[in-house]
Amino acid sequence: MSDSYLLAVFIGGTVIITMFAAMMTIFLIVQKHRQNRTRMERQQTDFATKSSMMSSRIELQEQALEFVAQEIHDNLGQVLSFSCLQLADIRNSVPESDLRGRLSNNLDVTRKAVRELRMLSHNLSGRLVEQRPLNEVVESELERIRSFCPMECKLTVTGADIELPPETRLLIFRIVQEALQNVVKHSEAKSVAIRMNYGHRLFTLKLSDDGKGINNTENEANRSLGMTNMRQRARLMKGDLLVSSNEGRGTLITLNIPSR
Amino acid sequence: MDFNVAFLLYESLLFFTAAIAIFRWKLQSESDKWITILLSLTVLQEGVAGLLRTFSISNLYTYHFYTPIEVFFIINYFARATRINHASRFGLFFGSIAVILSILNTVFIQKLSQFNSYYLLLEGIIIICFSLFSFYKLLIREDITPKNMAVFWITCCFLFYWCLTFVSLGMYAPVIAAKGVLSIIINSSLYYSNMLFYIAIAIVFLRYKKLVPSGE
Repeated sequence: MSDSYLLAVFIGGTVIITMFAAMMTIFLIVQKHRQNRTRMERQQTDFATKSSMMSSRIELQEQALEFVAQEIHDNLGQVLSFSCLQLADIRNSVPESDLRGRLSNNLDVTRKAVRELRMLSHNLSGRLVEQRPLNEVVESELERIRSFCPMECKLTVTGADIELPPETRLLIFRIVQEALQNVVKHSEAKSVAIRMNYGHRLFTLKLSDDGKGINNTENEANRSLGMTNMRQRARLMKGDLLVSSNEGRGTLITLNIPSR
Repeated sequence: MDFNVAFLLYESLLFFTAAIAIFRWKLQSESDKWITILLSLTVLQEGVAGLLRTFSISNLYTYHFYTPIEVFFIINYFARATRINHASRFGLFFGSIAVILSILNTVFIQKLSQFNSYYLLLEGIIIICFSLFSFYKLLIREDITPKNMAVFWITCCFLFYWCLTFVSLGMYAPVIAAKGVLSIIINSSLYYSNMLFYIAIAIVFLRYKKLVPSGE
């Protein structure tokens, strides 16, 4: 066999086999790219379906809360207000005595109950929450907590003056309510602090307490229904919710959502 | 290029690649460590081969010892990197078969004084098959991007190196015996393929921090 023939075999063979390797590599990359794209599309569809289900569920919850708020305001509130008027009337009709003093105390308690019920009905009603600035509704919720719980509550607001959409404000407020409820019920905390920062890109809310904390953050946080609701609400706003806690060293909940 | 200069360049590249691989040792997965050890052994073997050549002693028999070890290491690498069940037993079993085949080749076909090109040809087939198998395993795995995986790049290096040198090794015995112009071309192509291979492996280990280690 001549050298030129062998050279042709050598070059041809090497080129063919190397092209085979190149084709295999390109095939893998292209195929994997397609697989990943299909998977991403499937995930996006799943996410959209889940989001829509979550919105429906949250919408139903909001309707139920709206109904309860309305009932408190229209029925319970009215009855207590009427009771206040009657108590005041009776108190004024009796002469100065021990009974009058007791009636006055009773009237104060009933008036306080009316005030708290009004505040509760305002905070439960999504429609009313959407109409008010977030800082104001959060402050009113803290005030409501202060009225029945001897816990130091503090709200700090920093950052740019950015108006969040009403539905976002409502979702954030519901997260705050849920988190505060957890603090009151389980944490045995002496103080709770809420810090809200309006960044141009990111709105951040940090809720921290000095309570007993959670033993195993992830498990505990995942198990709780309230925590699941909070996470779902955060996801609806395309945000994320992080819970960090150590036993005996309080809990920190961080909510990050895009500002626009 | 002068043969000595080419050899020196090749040795330097090999040493550089092995040094980078050793430098990344702590970050490496178990399978990648097989490659790092193999690179270190290659430095040692090429060093001994170079030394023997300096003293005009035939160094061909060093390849008879080194090649089966190389196949053993590469099989063990692929067994772990492709996450085969019972990878260590698989690697040990097929690696041992490869070593036995090398001994048979040395005893019956290409003696110690000859270059073991037939065995290298077989090694090429084994490694190309393992590379394709590795691609297949990457294809069926979900949630991965091949370009972020060390196993993908190392497999590419092996596949291209062995595809580039496959015909050279197949033609090696008759062509080198003829000592024509083609033997120079084939020898040169083997050198350059080796250099390209070690440059590619060095790049993989340089970018190792950004890659998912093999077998993970």
